[in-house]
Amino acid sequence: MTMAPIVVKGKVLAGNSGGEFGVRGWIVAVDAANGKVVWRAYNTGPDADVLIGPRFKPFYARDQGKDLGVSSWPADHWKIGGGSVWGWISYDPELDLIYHGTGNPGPWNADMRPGDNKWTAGIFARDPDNGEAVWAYQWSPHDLYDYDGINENVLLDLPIKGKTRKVLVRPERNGYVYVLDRQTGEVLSADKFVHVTTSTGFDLKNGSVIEDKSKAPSLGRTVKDLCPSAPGGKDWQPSSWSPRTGLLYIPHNNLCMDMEGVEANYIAGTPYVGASVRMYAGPGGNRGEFSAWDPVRQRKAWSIKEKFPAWSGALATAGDVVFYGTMDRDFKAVDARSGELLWKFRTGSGIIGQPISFRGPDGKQYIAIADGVGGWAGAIVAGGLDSRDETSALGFVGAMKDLPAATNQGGALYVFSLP
Amino acid sequence: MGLALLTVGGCSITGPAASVPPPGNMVEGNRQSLLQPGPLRPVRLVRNPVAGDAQAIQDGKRLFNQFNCSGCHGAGGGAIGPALIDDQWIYGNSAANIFWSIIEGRPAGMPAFGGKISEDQTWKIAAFVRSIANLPEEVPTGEESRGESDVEKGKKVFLRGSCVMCHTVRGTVSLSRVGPDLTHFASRTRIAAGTLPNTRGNLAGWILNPQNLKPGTQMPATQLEGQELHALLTFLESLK
Repeated sequence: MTMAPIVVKGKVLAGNSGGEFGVRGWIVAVDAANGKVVWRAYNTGPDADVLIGPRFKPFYARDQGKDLGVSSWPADHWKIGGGSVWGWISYDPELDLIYHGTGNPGPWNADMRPGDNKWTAGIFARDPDNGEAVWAYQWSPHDLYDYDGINENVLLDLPIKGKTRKVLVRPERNGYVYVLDRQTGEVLSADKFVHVTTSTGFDLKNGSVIEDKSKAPSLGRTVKDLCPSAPGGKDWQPSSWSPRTGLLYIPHNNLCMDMEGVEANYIAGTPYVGASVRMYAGPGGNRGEFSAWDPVRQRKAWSIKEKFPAWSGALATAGDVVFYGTMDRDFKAVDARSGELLWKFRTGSGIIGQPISFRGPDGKQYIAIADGVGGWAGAIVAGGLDSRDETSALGFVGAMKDLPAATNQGGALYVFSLP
Repeated sequence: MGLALLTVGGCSITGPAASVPPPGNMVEGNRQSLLQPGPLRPVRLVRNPVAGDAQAIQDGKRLFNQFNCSGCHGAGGGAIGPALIDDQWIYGNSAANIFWSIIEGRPAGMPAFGGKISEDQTWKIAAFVRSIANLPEEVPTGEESRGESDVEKGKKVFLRGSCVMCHTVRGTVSLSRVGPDLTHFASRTRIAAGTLPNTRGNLAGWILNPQNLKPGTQMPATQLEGQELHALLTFLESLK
């Protein structure tokens, strides 16, 4: 388990990981007082396991039907199909709904699993008391590129076309910032925030990306120039919203990849992937970017290019200062409105953690960040991997050969305050 | 008496092929230490059956992908498992060391494949791993002994086996201080802490089953047969 649990109404919500190991994804609610499992919902398989019942009202026709979690897979493949819950869960107390994404389908080699592969690479709205599904949507049906759907769900009330809508904003792996109606799952807008070649655009009428079949890798066939690469326009690194500026501060990637399908064999406890991948920088040569996104105007207000993927979280404060860290050891403070660099601090190791702000016992505001490079992007340093094999770490090592010169391992907590 | 913890690096083990026990047994293919609960257990010896077989490397490459080794090790550069093409070898880089790492599994995530894939397949994967790490191909032990004197053959048996873990023979790489210094072994009149005359027969008995001769001794039993035992004895007799 690699995700951060959330406690809702006396229940601890958590999910499993292992989308590269042929797991069957689930989310569980455990009674915080005694540890008993209150409910568990699977993300593949029959409706009874997925907790799909009479209350389930998916917005789009493609998601409507009985036991789609079985019929959108070959034979029994849904049993090892993935859809894990290794990312973020949000709760709306007014609607009394939790929102969670589901991870990639397995294996990466999509030839082995024709069909939409429900309900992987998607999002569920569920009742926190009993786990009942209220609506669901797939960001990437029949995912071809490891676009896990588990990123953060930012719950906001925004003015859309003259009306205030209860929305869910999601900077998604597939390179689009989505704005969904969080009551129904309708896609109100989806706009590219990085260079995208794995789809040609978004069809709002049917609520799906427009595929480019020529960009589909298959067994023995290498497809080049796939953008965004497998870690996506943004991986799990969480963005931060400022109600004062109306901007979502997104630390993200600018990466593309070549991908080839290879044989995948399911052996319990071992990786079940079936892809050979090589990643590299996207257009412009910068592998990362820190963007201030306006979800109402559907565009970037400003952005800062970064040499390495911006893999840390973002923090926006009421003083209109935004904090984030870089993989090459800089902890930065920028102006929330203009993006101007206000301050930076050289840490001992690259930063992939999330900055927080708290009030100390003396009443002062403190900002804290832990350094220590790692994660998928930092595997070459954290794992001591060998860059002569550009496909190692599922292709990331080839794109990060210069990281060991920019940082070594670390793990220190830094706490800052104004004098 | 306290014994130092020893790590074994790169020992190619020779001897009669030992069967691989089923999973669940601590196999001790890589003897890490002489500290053991209960009576000393002999080192299990294996022989690389595919040494010198180029086809084994090709087979090993296919098996490396089929058994998902590439899932954790990439194409050798590593992923959630370590790189195999660099020169960091925690548990040794001989084919036998790699064989045992695959069979036994290793801490921090390497599964134990013993009993799940065949020994033959394991040796082939080990051959492939050595090839991508750019290590020289191992030669079958019979061939490299041809044309050598018994003393030279015996010295190889000594240096490739577990003797080096405990004994010093100055002038060789065997420099351990755990057991007695054997540099001038042949000029000793008695062996086994003075309990036996230093004869060829007693020496053979001592090497094969020391507990039989001196119960409680720290010297472990070593399985050797025929040619190799004979050569080892001749080598030891040459250490005047």
